[in-house]
Amino acid sequence: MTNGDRQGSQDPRFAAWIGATVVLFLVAGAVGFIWLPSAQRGAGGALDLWDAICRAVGLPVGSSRAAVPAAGQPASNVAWTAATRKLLTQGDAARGAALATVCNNCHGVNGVSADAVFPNLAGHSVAAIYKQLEDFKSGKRNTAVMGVFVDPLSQAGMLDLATHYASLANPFAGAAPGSADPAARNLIEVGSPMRNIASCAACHGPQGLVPGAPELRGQQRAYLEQQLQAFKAGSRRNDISEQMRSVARQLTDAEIAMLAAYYSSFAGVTGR
Amino acid sequence: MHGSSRLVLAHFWAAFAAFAVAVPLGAWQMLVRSPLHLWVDPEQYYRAVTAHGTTLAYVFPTLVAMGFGYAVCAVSLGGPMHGMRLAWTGFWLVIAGAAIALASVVAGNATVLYTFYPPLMGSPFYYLGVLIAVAGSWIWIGLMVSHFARWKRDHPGLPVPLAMFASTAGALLWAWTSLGVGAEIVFLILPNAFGWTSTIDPGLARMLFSWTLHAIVYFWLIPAYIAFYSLLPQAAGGRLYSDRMGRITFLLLLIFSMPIGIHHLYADPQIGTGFKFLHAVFTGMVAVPTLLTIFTICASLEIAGRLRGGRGLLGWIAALPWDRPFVLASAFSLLMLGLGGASGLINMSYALNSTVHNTQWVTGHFHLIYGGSIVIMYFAIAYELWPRLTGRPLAAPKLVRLQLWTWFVGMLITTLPWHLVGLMGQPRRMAYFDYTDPALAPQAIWVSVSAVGGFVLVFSALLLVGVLLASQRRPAAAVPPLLFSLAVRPPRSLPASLNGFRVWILLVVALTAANYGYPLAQFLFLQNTGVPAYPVQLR
Repeated sequence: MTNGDRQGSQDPRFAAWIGATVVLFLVAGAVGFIWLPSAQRGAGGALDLWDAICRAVGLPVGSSRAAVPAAGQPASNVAWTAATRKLLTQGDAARGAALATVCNNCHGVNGVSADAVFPNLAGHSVAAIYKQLEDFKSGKRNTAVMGVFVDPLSQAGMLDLATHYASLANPFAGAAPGSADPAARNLIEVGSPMRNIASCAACHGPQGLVPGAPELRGQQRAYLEQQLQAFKAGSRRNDISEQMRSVARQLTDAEIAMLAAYYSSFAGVTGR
Repeated sequence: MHGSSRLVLAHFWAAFAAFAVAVPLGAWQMLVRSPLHLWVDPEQYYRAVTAHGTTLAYVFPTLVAMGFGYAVCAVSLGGPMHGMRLAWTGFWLVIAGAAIALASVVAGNATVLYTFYPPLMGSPFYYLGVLIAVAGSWIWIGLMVSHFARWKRDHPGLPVPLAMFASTAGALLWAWTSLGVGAEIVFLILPNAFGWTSTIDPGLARMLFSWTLHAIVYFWLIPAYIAFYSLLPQAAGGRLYSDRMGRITFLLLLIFSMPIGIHHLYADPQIGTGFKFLHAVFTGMVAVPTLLTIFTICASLEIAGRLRGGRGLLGWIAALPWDRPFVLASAFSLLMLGLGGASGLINMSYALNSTVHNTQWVTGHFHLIYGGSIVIMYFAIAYELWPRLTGRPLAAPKLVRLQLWTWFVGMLITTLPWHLVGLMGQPRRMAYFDYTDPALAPQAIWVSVSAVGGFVLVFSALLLVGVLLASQRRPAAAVPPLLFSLAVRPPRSLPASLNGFRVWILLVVALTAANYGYPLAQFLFLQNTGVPAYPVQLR
């Protein structure tokens, strides 16, 4: 096109630079895909060279393909798979409201219970409510009280109920805690790493985005205390991977009471 | 400036307005997670981090690169630009996109940080806003390339001015590298944010983001390098040591800064170690243009110092005109580039990275390189351009020097302790730390020092805006026109390899295919790599 470009076909820099780049690529490739993998085959060449090269490329090989044997029964039949997440979007709040007339006797018409042993449900996530209903139905959670109510429910019914309660406004969202107990806040925000206690907030909020982890702000005091004690004693076992049991076992009775007092101290916008 | 002054000024003012909002947010974040303040709601903290990152990564440097590119185009090609209406459209797209994205962040619907972190999923408007802003910058890319091609057509056989050559290299680099984040938003994130897909593949999304993530820094860096080559020798009263070295530098940046992004994913399990090594080697190559630049710029400054009567081995350094903002800023920039470059060499080393990965060391590194050495050159460029854009001389030269000093000192006070606490193991992206814990207590003093540095930077940022405002209100006066530095031996004609990009673009594409092809393609045959998205919104 221009004089410069006509010169271009003879410009030796193109060949030199491109050649140098290709050589660099080949050398780096030889080191990264052949030499380093052959040096990383493990003691006594635990992996054969071909598998080592495949691993360097990113192809799953050998032991990583072997299935992990599962032992015992799962803590819950609910798993947070994509299929479950999709299912959770399919509930019908209006049908749930009709079904909820029975539930409202204990959990309150607005999803805020009048009795401290029955949990509030208003504004909790569909995932958290559905998992508990399903666990009651399958017997993974103690059915003494709830069993008779969940027995007649279909999966669709449980989804509708969960969707109904999730759609109610949570009167405690955005509220400030009534208790400023620094020891409780420390457990909630930092946990106690030396005792292997993760912070409550890591799963339960303030942001509270972990699938299945229930909202705790404003929850009933006696209910919280009872459940933490049940996890601690091992009489409640529907927490996946023992997440709650391993924390609750480390908590003292005084700490359990303190946490229950802290979370129940949130003042709802409708008052208590 | 051949009728482009208003356009350039609009870009710079919008950039610095965004900057003046984002810097105090950063200082606030440092304060609230330091021992000097009680903990705040993490939601507020991450919202501020998202706004700070989104503004300073997508909006501020893009507007500066665009504005400076237009200035370079008008001045170096010596005539009015064509396509002014398009250029204004690009400007307003960036502004509109930024406003949409930031509105979602402020509303609490997109607390996902500027790097998106799928499977976190915010409001679709946030991602759309970012996409619109990037689309605005694509208009700039088109204008740069078309001016470059048109000038070459009209001046057969003549060398394209170095500044324009470099600006076009930056535009081409941005064109190629912004495709990664664009593809991530269009093909993975938006379908999920709108609810059309139930899962998202975080491994693939992260890889596409890495396509953008490293070279975006070089897109930010290129205006600073153009300033080193084209404005600094002139400002120091000397000549550019080598014009060809400049061209080689910008070509090397174009070729090597993009196909290396997997060095951000050393801890990611979805990529084979061989590719991590390959990217580490090519990352090492980007040190070459930086070393070439440091050599050429120091040689150019030596020429200036000796012309001004400097004698002896180092006497030329003292003879340089340190009262000129451009010279002062460039020295600060080179010092910070040296420090940040050293920590960067540690980050790019596969084994060393594992000790600093995801610690405050990394935050320290990129603030020093970008917030320090690059942004201080943006200030220098603004100080150099302002009189030419407004027809009024710069106000208060002493305050200008104070501004540059406080930015330099503030940035060191902020980032050096960050490096240190990173080595002590402090993770990044945390809303609060319990410094009463004996394991963290030794970090408390350094985190506090670093937070003080943040407020020095706020002072400096506000001083910058004050000086620029005051300068614009001064009475008009005769201002010498902007001239780009002459080389010691200005090129009369150049070989095609140093005067155009056609073959080099093919090399960039081929190298990208070689370095990214397989890691991207494996997602086509690996099964079950998607996970449910994790909606981020206020409840």
